[in-house]
Amino acid sequence: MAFHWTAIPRFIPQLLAGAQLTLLITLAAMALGIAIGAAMAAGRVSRFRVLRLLAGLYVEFIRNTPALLQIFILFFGMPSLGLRMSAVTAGSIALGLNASAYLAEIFRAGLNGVPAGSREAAIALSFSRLHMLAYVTTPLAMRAAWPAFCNLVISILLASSLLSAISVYELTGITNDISTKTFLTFEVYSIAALFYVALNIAVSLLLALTGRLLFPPQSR
Amino acid sequence: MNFALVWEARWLIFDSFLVTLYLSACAIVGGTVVGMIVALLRQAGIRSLNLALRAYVELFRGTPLLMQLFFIYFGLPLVSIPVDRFWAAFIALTCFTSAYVAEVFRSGIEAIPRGQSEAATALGMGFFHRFFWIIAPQAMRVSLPPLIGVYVSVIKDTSLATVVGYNELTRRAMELMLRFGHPLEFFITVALLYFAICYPISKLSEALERKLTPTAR
Amino acid sequence: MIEVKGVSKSYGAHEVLRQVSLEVEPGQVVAIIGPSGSGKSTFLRMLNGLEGFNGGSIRIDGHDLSVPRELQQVRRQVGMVFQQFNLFPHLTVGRNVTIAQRLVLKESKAAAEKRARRLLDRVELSEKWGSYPSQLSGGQQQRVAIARALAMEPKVMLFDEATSALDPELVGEVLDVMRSLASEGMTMLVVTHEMGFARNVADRVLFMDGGRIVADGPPGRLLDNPEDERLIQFLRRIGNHERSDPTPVSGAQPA
Ligand SMILES: Nc1ncnc2c1ncn2[C@@H]1O[C@H](COP(=O)(O)OP(=O)(O)O)[C@@H](O)[C@H]1O
Ligand SMILES: [Mg+2]
Repeated sequence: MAFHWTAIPRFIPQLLAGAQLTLLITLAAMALGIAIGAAMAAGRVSRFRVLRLLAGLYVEFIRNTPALLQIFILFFGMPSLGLRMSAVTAGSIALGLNASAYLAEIFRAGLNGVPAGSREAAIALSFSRLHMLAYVTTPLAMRAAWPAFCNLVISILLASSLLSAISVYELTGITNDISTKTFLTFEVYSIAALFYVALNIAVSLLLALTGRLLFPPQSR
Repeated sequence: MNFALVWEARWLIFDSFLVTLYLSACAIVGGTVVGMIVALLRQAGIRSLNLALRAYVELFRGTPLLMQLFFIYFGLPLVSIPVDRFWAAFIALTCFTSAYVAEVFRSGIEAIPRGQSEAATALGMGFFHRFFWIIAPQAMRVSLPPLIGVYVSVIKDTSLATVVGYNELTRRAMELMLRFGHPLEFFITVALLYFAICYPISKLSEALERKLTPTAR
Repeated sequence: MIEVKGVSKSYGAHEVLRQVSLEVEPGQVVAIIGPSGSGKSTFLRMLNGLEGFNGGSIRIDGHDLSVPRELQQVRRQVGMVFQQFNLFPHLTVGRNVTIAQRLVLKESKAAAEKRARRLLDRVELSEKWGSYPSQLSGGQQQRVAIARALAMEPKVMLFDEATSALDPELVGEVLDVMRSLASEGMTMLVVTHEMGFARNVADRVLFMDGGRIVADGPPGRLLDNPEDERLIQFLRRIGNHERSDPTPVSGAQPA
């Protein structure tokens, strides 16, 4: 088999556009995921049984069904309820809902990870409930949740490739498209793999940096 | 909502449900075996080998499974390795899963105190004796909950075989939808089937995890 | 039995052992004392090949430790007991004592179990055969660890602060086992902070400091009339100077 690496450069702009869309989808999904995930985490530790049950059902259902199916349900299924969305929108929302279930668990684990001692110390210092939440519980929970949060961002980034199955031209979609049109299968996929690895590294570095800023090691 | 249609198609759905179970089982076995071998080889401490194995793990963990699947399905025939839909899905899932399994085992192995290996060495045990009798059994216990978690992902990820046209559960739902309409009914039905397998396994993993860490508040 | 000649060891630029030489006769019991970080553990671990060494030579019972093939031979003849016991937590007490006999010495199951029962009997733990290490006290675990090492029928036993991780009231039971081993003529190298043991059981005491053997002699002379300034200071620090009774000094100084 002969390789045609020289043919690759002219596809780079397309691949870059795909990578950009991949990042955008990831960002949108994470934003939606954080909002709903926080609400679900709150629901799961709520005082009301019904809320706990509903939030639990939501989280467990999403975590135990394939993301691809969730995307199909939103893209193919919602129109039959009169809700028509573009593939990117439907896909991003599905991914966001998917992320929210995992985030709910991450947030909850973070809350559980706050040492009882810190809470007791705050009570002993007669912090108000609000002050305790603002100055003790939330910062400590966020710190505890941060590593898992970073891992989730990366897995959502990778999962955004599923949108290619509903013809969204993000990085994987573009790659498939170029591959089927040119038969440069090996070359195009190799380059796309590099793109993904580069995206991972870039996002991981950014998150590590953010982590440093948010949670300086000396305050540990 | 028209679930009568779903009921009529129940045998078609059940049939592909079995296909999903079959592919899952194959990928779980394949991924575990390959992943264990990778983890074992990483313990040998040979530098160039370690580098290669790390590259393998990072590559399969760092790129989307969907792309790996396309690459194998369309790429291998170009180098005269014929792969049908099952084999493409099986190979992709095995490689992908093995990368995660290898990492699970590696962190399990690293969780074993150094003294264990040293005590075994001091008793005259060689590399294989140490690994199989002392390190692996202990690492296995630590690794079991996350390992089962990986297996749940594998079952869900078999749905990606849809894109190369392999007739598993998600693909069947898609076909039925294209033929009869009513997407929500079909998709929700198969979603419930996935849930029915994955949920108990997830719970098992959590229960094992709790059993291993009795200090949970 | 043990012949160490001009051995050195460094981690990067950090020299941990400098030109250490030592000869130990069969049946001798040698206590090694010295401040934390002086290289005692490193030295002991070198003697059964857990650490490599940079220069010099080590021979144990005629086997050259720098020859990889002899290394396995040496490990069979040198038993080691660790500060943290390092019992195998997934195996019962019985299996802990038989596993190396089965795998390394290729003993039959019956022979291995017979020997294991005899040794567990000797450390007074025969009733713990089916227990797991986590069900034993620290002192019991360390006695099992000693039985496990003895099961290989070693000619030399190395003890690296075998009692340092124990609660004070459990130290005695382990020292008793070590004392009886010594009286039976086992060659022993014992890194310890138990001055009572060094004084009453050892034939010879080594004082290590800064990666060297600074003082070497019979316990009476070394501990009661120390000449080396660093040794005098060390003994003063651990409170030996006014103590002549054999009560163990159990300072908790992790290596
Ligand atoms: N693996 C290692 N890497 C680097 N330095 C080490 C290592 N092991 C031990 N050392 C250093 O070697 C010195 C001697 O250690 P050790 O033999 O454990 O002393 P001791 O047992 O007398 O307390 C110490 O300064 C320690 O920091
Ligand atoms: Mg030490």
